[in-house]
Amino acid sequence: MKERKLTKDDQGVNKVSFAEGLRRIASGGISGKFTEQEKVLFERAKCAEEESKKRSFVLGRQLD
Amino acid sequence: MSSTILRSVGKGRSFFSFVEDYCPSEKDSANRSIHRLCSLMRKMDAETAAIESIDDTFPEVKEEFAALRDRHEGSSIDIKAFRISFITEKIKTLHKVVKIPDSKFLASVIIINFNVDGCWSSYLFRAIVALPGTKRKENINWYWSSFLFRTIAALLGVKRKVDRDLLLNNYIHVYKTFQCEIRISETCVRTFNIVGTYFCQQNNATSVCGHASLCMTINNMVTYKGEIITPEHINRSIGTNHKKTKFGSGVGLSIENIRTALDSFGLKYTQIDFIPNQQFEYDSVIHKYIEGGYPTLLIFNTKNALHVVTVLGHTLNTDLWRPEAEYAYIKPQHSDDYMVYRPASEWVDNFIIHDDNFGMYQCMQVDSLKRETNAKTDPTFRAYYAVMITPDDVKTFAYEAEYASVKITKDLLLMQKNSFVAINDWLERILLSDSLKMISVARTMLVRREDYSRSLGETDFDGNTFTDIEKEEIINDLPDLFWLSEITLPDLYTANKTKLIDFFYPTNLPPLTDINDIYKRWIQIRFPEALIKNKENQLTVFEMSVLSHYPLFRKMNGPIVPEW
Repeated sequence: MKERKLTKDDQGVNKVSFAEGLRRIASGGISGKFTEQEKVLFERAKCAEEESKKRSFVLGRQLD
Repeated sequence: MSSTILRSVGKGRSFFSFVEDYCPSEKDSANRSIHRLCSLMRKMDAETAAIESIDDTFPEVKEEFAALRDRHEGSSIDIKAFRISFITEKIKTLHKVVKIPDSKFLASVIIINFNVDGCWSSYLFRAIVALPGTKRKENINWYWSSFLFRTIAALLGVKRKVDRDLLLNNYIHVYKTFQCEIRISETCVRTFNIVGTYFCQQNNATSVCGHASLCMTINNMVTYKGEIITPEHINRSIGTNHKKTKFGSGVGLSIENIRTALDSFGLKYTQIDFIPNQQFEYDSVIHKYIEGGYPTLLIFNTKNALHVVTVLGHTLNTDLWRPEAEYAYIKPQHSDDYMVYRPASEWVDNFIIHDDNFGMYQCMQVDSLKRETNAKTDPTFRAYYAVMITPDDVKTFAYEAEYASVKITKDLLLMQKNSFVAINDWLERILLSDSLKMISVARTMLVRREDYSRSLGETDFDGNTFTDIEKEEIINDLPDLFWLSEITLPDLYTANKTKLIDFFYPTNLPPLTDINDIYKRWIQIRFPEALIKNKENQLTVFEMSVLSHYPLFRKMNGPIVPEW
């Protein structure tokens, strides 16, 4: 999502309060877009803990 | 039977000689953990040590002695043990030990020495060591008020638990109060409390580093209320028979053994394997648990084996250059400007660990276990695996919670801005952080509802507070445990220790199947001026009185850490 610069016309518009703005958003819901890289990262991350449970190894050997 | 003696250990008295007297193995091999203990005692102004010779009649060591004899069945074995208490006061006679306040006790340790076929081994079987700090200096102008304070406190029966100034920017999040004792005579025992941590060493015969680290993890958790867990408790939980399983002779403790032991003690945990998951920086993962007060077993590769240490806290360097400069100078090609943020762990320069080979309260530089080379071809001295102890099952990965926090809050702020909503200056700075060359900061941690509730009594930078109705609205839909991501700006984080946004995310949801589901999963977001809740995908908004930056979440108990 890219930000939009305010125009001079925009400046003249009466702004509503932050809470009121959130209420307007609330009625329509929130969604967003993801880059390909974000999708790949999530794909890798989602199984990380499940996969970690399968790891087997042995600890313990005092320093020589 | 015990006989207790006093020995001066203040400046001018050698701790090297002291160690030689109570550790016969010292002539062949220096025990670095015992030396580290002595170094801490020197720094913390120990003046006197009370030394007791102990034997099988002491319940704390009875089982350990038996295990050593079992393990070395058929060999000639001799065992000598000492319980040593370190005190900051010069004391000449034993009966005075009864009168000194608890705050003068720095440590209570048990050293066990065993001789098998003429060769001595020594180890710290148990060490309760006070949180490190420097002796509080009494200002002469303060003397009378402090005298008055002490008199009133004495009359009211109030005892100062910590008589030292804790170290600057040292955040030891996992510690508690331990009851210790000295036997003055056959009929008199002095009990005292130490606010600090439990430490122990493997003996390489009936225990290895896995036992030690597991004991240090469990025994230091505030939420663990049971008896002190010893390596023999762990051996029982995994069914070890010392006559058959010879730890230390190429036999170690497996990760499956650790999981079995944790299950048997009713503890929950989450785990991450860093080798196949190199997109996760190990410090960023661990920090999210430690910051909430939950300890971690950190496993790394040595030259020829895997070793484990216990992470109990961290230091913070708020003057670090890299967190902001690295991004500015070498902005990654693939970065999405919109999502620029730094996890709070970027300002952590050391983890505070207990390493059974090197001692307690060691500062392990975060970069020590990071390598730029390929993990498969250069595996040595690299974070390998971590087991984080959690209060309940935590299914939702911290990475998801933190990423969602930045993504969703920035989406909301941008939607607001594009809808001609009045956005306060602080939120505008978050939204424009990249174009202002000022990254945002996300501090994510596991938080309990009751602890968060207590943090709502503070005032923001402009003196505003939450009303009782607002506090209730913030709290009433939160689960008992959640991921909290605090979003702020670097200057607010490093100088004011304050935040702008609180983002709440569940801990009990399975891995995402569709990335878009993050928009359905979040619980609520508290901005300056407003709270937005997501209850079964119905969004509701409440106005809030807090308008400016607000103190970071901290648990409201325990000694105060001096901060810079």
